[in-house]
This record gives sequence, C-alpha cells and structure tokens, in this order.
Amino acid sequence: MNVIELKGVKKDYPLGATTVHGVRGVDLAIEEGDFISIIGPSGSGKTTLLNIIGCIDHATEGSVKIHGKEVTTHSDRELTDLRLHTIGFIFQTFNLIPVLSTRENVEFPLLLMKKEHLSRREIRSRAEKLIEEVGLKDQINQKPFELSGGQRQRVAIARALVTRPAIVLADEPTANLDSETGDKILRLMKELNEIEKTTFIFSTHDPDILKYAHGVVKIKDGLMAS
Amino acid sequence: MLYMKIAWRSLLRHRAKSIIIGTILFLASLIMIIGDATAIGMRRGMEKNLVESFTGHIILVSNEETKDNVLFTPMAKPLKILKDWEKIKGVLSKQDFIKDFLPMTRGGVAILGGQGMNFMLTFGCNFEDFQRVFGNPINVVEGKFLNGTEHGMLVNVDGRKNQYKNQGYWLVPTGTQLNKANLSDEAKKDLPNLITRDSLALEGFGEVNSTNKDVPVTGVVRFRSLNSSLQEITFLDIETYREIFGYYTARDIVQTLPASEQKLMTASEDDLFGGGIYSSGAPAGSIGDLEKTIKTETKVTRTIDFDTAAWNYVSILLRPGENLNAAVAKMKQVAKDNDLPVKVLSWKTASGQVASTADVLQSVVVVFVVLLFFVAIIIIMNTLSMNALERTEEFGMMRAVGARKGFITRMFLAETFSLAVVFGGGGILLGEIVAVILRNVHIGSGGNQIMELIFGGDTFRPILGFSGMMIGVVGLAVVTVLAVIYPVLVARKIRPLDAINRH
Repeated sequence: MNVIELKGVKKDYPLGATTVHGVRGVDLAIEEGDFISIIGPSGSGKTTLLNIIGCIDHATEGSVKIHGKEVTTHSDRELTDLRLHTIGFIFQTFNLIPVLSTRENVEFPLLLMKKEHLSRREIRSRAEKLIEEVGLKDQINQKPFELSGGQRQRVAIARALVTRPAIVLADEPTANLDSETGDKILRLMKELNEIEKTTFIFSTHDPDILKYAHGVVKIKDGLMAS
Repeated sequence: MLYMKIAWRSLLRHRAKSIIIGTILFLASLIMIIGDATAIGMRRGMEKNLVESFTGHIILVSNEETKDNVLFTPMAKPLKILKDWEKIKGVLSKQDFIKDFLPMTRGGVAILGGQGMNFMLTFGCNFEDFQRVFGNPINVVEGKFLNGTEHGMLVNVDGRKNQYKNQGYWLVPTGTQLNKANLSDEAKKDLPNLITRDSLALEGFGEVNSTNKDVPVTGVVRFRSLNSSLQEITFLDIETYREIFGYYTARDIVQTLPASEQKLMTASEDDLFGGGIYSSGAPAGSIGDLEKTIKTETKVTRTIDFDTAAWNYVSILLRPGENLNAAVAKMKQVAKDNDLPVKVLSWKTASGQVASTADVLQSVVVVFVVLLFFVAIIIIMNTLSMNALERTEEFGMMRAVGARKGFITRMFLAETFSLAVVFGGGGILLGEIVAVILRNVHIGSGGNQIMELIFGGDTFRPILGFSGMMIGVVGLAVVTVLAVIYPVLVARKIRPLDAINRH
C-alpha cells in the first residue's frame, strides 16, 4: 500500500517578475516501511519535495496523498494534526526547543497529543525508552546547548519517533555531522525502520550513505531523474 | 502546563528583553497608580473640602434663573429670590436621600470708600446653621463668629490681604486690637502709617432696591481647607444681606403706623400748608374723618418683591453613598412632582469655573496617564513583535512537530502576562506604597490655588483604595492585551517553512 502518493507535483516561487520552479512535476509513490533516499545536487528540489510530503509547504499544482487522503485541500489545523500524528521530522539543523532538556524535547510532541489521553507516566516512559535507544541516557536532563551536534541530532530523531509516526522525513540528517556520527545516526534510523516498520524518507547529496536505502529517488532541476 | 513551562523558561532565557518589557510595564503601572491616586485624592478632596464644606451636592435656585453658574461669580447678576420657601423646605425635609439642607443668599457687593470702587462676593446665611450643616468648615482667626441675630460680616484671612492691596486699609474685627502677627508682608512694611478699619460700607450690587450700610467686621476667618480658592467669600448675617440688597420679608414691609404718622401719610398738600393738621389750636377736620381714614387705610404697603423669607438658593447635602447624578435626577423629579418653583443644579454646574478648573486639572492627569499608556503599548508591542520574529525558528519548529497556532498564542500570552503580573503588579504595589508615603508626608499647596485644586485641599493626599487598585489592575490588563495583540498575530503567522528558510 502506498503511504505517500505524489502526482504532477509542482512548486513555483515567484521572484519579482520571474518565477523560480522548485519542483516541476514530480510523480512519486512510496510504500509503507520503505527506506527511501532522495538524492541530488544542492538546489535540485530535494528539500522542497520533502517539505511538500511533510505538509509544511504547499504544492503549487498537483496531488499529494498521505495514506490515500488528499492533503492539498487540508486546512492549517488539519495539516498540523497530520504532522503531529503521522509524520516525524528530522531537520538538518537539529531544531530543538532551546529551553527544554533532552527528555522534555522528546516529550514535547506527546504533550501536544491531547486526543490520545496519554498519562504522564506513559509519556515519560516512551520518551526515556527512545532516549536510551539513541544513546543519550546520560544526557537526559541536559539542555540542547550542552549537547554536541551528533547528540542533538539524536534527540531530534527520538523526538521524531516518539509519536510512533507512519512516516519519518529527514532532510540531510547527517549534513552537519562528522562521518562517524552520521553513520551511527543512519544505522539507528535503519534499525528503527526494520523494527517499527516506519517509512523513512531522507534527502542527501552524500553518495556514501546510499547503501542504507531500499530505494533512491534522483532529482535534478526539480524533476525526477530516475 | 507545557506552554507555561516554556513561557517561563523563555522569559529567563531572553532576560534582556524580559527586563525591558517588564520595566516598561512596571513604570507604566507605577505612574498610572500614582496618577490614579492623585485623581481620586483630588476628587475626594474636592468632595470633602468644597462640596461637603461649602457648596453642598445639589443647589436649588429659582426656576426663573437663566444661568447655571450661580455660586462663584462676583460680578454676576444678583440671583432671583426663591419663591415658596416654606413649601420647598417642607418637601426637602421629607426626602430620604437628603442628609441636610441650608438656605443661603449670594451676591456681589460694592465696597464704598477706600481707593476707588471694589467688589466683594458675599454669602448671607444663619452662620450658626451653616457651621452645623457643613460640619464646622470655617475657623476663626481674629474676632469671633456671627452669633444669633448679631449683624456683621466675616472676612476671609486671605481676602483681607487682597483688601489691603486694593483698598489700602487693614481690616480688624470690631472690638479687637490689631494683631501684628497676622499682617501681610506689605502691611508690615506700612505699619507706622497703617490704616485700620473695623467696618466696611457695602452696597448690594445690581439690585434696584439695594441700599448701602456700614457693616461691622465681626471676625476674620479661614476655611479649614481650600482657603486660597475660597478667599473671596465673605459671610454676612442674613438680615444685613437682605437689607443691603433690598430684600424685604412680609414682616418688614407690612407694618402698622402710629395714628399721627398715618395722618401724615394720608394728608393732602392743602392739609399741610393750609389750616390742616399743623395749624395751631384745635385739631383740623373732624375727629370722625380722621378715625374713618385710620380704619380704611391702617396699613401702607410698597410694591416690592417679597416672600415669607428671602433666600437665593438652597444647598443640599446628600446622604453618604448617594450617587450625585442619580440624586440630581431624583431631585428634579421631586421638584416636578411637587410643583416647586426651582431649578436643580449639581454642585459642578453651579460652581462654574471652580469645578471646571478642577475637572480640567483632573482631565490633564487622566490624559497624561492615557498618553503614557499609549507610549507603553507601542514600546511593548514593538519589543514583543521583534521578539516573535527573532524566535521564528523556535515557533516554526514547534508548528512543524504539531503545535497548533493556539499553542503558540497561549505560550506567547503566558509570557507577556507573566511579565505583566510580576512587573506590572510590582508597579501597582509600589505605586500604592508611594501613594501612602506621599499622603503622610503632607506636601502643602503653598497657598497656590491651582495646587489646591490639584490636591483637592491644602495638602497632597493621593488616595488609591480598593477601587483605585482595581482601576490599576484593569489598566494594566488593557495595556498588556493591546500591546500583545499584534505580536501574537506575528507569532501565529510564523510557518514551519519560515523556520527552515532561516537556514
């Protein structure tokens, strides 16, 4: 079953009198449990495509379906709820809440999930389990500024996974990490993909990390190359 | 709550901005509270020192009176005489909302003699009643008060100084020695040649029937408070007042003449210059004729306006807790229902310039506070907006992982209201403390009329109380809400994409 389905997706950016075409008509279908890498040079449209899949940007044209539901017509609130319950994000620049500790950052999305009526104990237990899995048990009470780049990225991964999302999107998750840490992070993502059957889509322009992917989507000048 | 936790920690993280916004809220609250306390103190001071000590809350004048400013205009046209005073008195006595009332007269008098012509604003009343009704607002400085039916006048201690400046003589109460300690600086300089007088020749100003009379100065007095503002007021005993203004009661103008005078009044010229009543020898005419005349014209009247008692206005004091506007409306209805020939005025309307000056000064305080509010709102709004934009990554990331706009709104409001409670609340508390200190320091007006009106009395007595505190709290809430609306909109508009684009 396709968890993500894109048809004729275009994204234009008006720039004065001209228009920059970020994505120029992409068709893509990703199945549940896939571990897909989107590759391409800088400015090719990888991040734009991820943002559209992740419902944090709107396609100018085309259809985007998540779990078979068209999301291009969703309201802001519906998209927010979709991001909270279905999609996990790992940003290139870590993007943690600076005033919260490692545990609080991971707990954050769970605390937003009012409908699930999660108990305080359940929230804490899920957060601590993931923090342990990403190897940050000793840094559980530290604030982001007290952590290294790799540690922050691992916190971001834990936060992305704590809600048990169907899809995890990672935009160049290893770009700001040294190769050893980047490798560890990808192995962790792969492990979770295999155990939890979570669909992973990550963008990169580093050919060394493609070995982890089930499939590769090449993108160039806003178009799928293969 | 999650957003409260983040809000508090964010405030601590962005200490510099928190302190800037907090300081503005603190200062705005502090100044607002002191301004409020000044305005409330002024209002209560005016209420106590002017309304409850002299004017009364409501003034009744004749319904023929065309102007409303009836109390403090020295050159004003004389007031009309109230008609049906006995009826008015009877109706007023039955009203629950009225604590007490006092009939009075008011008029400008010309002071005869001295250097040129001078005028004086005089009020006539039963002075003992005045002191009783208004709670002894006047103290005697020299001489004594007017007692019972004693004729005379009470001159204000500051008014006497003006009198000296304008007329060149120093008033000394009759039967007393010159008190050198009370002389003005100018009078002290002229001490060797100082002219003193213990009476003034007064003439009712502007009345057809007015006469002049030498009125003894019975006492030199001072209002317990607001004396500089009320210095032009001179009290006359009511009979003297009526006499110089040509007011006559029925008792005064209807009198029985002795028989010899009646004969003179009814005699013709022929009687006077012929062999009439002054001719020697036997009485002229027959006794029978004279008796007939006496029986038919025993009383002689003059056509002068009169009433059973001639008063110009009635000062009415309301019971504590009565609302002035409601009481004025009630009094108007009572006057209408009982067909009283009166016009009902609030003390503000009747006091004219004095009340309007006080209102203007109070408005200045209020305008100052409002302007301060706007400045505070703009500065806080600007700082918060900048703060929201600087936190684009944080807010955008929160939105990306599933925080709704409502969460951002609550968090932003929590931050701002926390600052308002801590700093603004501190400002309100300090403002109250400052008000208490200022009230107990007893800063004097220095005899300056404007300062007296600002203070609402002789000393600065800012009062806050519960209502003032509530005004402060509501004011602070309004400032905070108005200042935070735009920044909240800015924060709500931040999209997850904006956070990503920052990089």
